[in-house]
Amino acid sequence: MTELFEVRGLSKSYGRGSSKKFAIRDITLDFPAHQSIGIVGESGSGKSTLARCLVGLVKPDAGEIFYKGKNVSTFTDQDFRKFRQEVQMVFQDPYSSLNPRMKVREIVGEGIEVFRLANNKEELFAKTKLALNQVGISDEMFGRYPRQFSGGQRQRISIARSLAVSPEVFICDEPVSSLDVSIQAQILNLLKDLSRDLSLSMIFISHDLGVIRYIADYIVVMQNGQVQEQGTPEQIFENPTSEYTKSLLNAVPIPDPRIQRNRFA
Amino acid sequence: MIKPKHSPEIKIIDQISFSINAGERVAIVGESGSGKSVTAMSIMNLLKDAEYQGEIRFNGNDLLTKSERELREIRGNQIAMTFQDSLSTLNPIMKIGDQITEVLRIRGAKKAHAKAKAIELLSELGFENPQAAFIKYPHQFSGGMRQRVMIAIALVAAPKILIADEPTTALDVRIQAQVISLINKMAKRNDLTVILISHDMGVVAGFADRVIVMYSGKILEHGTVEEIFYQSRHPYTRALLNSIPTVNRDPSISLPTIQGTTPEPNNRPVGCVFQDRCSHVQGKCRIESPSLVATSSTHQYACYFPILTNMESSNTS
Repeated sequence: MTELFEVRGLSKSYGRGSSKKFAIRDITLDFPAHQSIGIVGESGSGKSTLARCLVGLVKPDAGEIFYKGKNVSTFTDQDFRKFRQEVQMVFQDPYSSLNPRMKVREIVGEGIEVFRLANNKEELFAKTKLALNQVGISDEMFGRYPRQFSGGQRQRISIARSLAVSPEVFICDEPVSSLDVSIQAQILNLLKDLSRDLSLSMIFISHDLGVIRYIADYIVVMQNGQVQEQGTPEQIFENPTSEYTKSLLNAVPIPDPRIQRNRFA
Repeated sequence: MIKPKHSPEIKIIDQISFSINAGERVAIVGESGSGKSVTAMSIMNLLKDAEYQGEIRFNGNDLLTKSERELREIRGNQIAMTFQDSLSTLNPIMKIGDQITEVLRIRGAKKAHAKAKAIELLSELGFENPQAAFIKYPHQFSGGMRQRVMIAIALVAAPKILIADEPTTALDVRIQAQVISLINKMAKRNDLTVILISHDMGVVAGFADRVIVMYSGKILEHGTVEEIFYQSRHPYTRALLNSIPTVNRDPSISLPTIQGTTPEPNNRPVGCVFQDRCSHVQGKCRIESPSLVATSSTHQYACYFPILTNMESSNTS
């Protein structure tokens, strides 16, 4: 079976000469389809750069990315069109990733029009409505602007925007890190339910080990642009082998005074 | 109580009452819009455009009636504060050594003495080369080191109270752990009273003696760290704790959520502020706002239909 994504020797650096810094360095990874892959790391680990390379927002310096067995660098225009429809990204900041001058209905409908997924206005509205209802945005809100929504609702709208074009892959870059805990749980459950019900593949990037444990079937731990460790949640959380993973797990605060006091005594 | 001047009356925080004893560590927790930072800033009397009703007594004197001159004697010397965003709080064009010693120099300390004090503090806070750090600028440090610089600024004049507003929020977990254990160490060594403002229940669990839970400008529950984490009575506190995806919980069990969103301060419902999101809500909650009820000398909650304690629920069953 071909993997969804195969990454071979991927590198990306910024700057030149002595100030040249690698964001990711020689990464080789396989991403199987219909799974939720969690990528976890601290700031500067390269997790976002990797995600951006996968969707084609960042051009790598070296290495290859295969999508469904085909090298992305050999894509024709038509391949790219299909790729952009199938692979959707959800960003961290629901404030800057939605166009403030477009109504919610237009934001979600835009992709449907671009990919010509609707034959007429009625169909366009039906598909827009389906996507928005799926994320819990009700009909009377369709004519509103992003500023009229809370952070959690905006993240729902950006998920609806991705859902509307019948995607196969969701790449989520820290989708809940700017949200309050009570809202975060809503969005995590929504993403989990959607990926199960629509059998989506998900690549989920987060700095939060608790979030990763809740959402991921398979986990990749990154540090300084490289993969430190990868494995099932049981392997990573119960039997981590890399010192780095262990140090992360030791530092995660646990909301239980008896446990937490002993750890930081 | 407080509201911004020159704008329609909006109560940002409403009927907040609590007291802190010397040497205690109190955490004020809440989500965005809960009023936790406004409460902290009010203790320092930093909100110039706010109008207050009520009192903030420090050693028996009301801070809200003090003149700016009197307040200058208290801020830094007696009560000091660190802020969440170190990059915008520190002066970008002033060496960190000058920023740390500023509060001593203003009070007439000799340059050499102030510098020695700062170097000592920097080394206690884990700067490997404090002499070199002293003449660097904020942008030359990482977020974790900048947070330490703010702690140095706060502690240099040996205050009695440290207010730490979200000291770990923008930091990576390993740095978070370091900063918290540093605050811990400094608090022990200097007999500090600490007020920790945080949204992170994990950080609070390991640090605080007492916890104040705020929501939409109100205190909903207040108790010892054990009472809040193990015997919480307010449905909000319990729901908040349950909705955290911790590393030690079974991921196959669906995460309980709190439906809806926090009301805007100008659009709070009549009655309990949490009513629209509460699983215990009944008619009474929509009519009158519940006041705090005490269940022990340390534990209070504001709810008409609280979660039963283990003892109460075994009696009824």
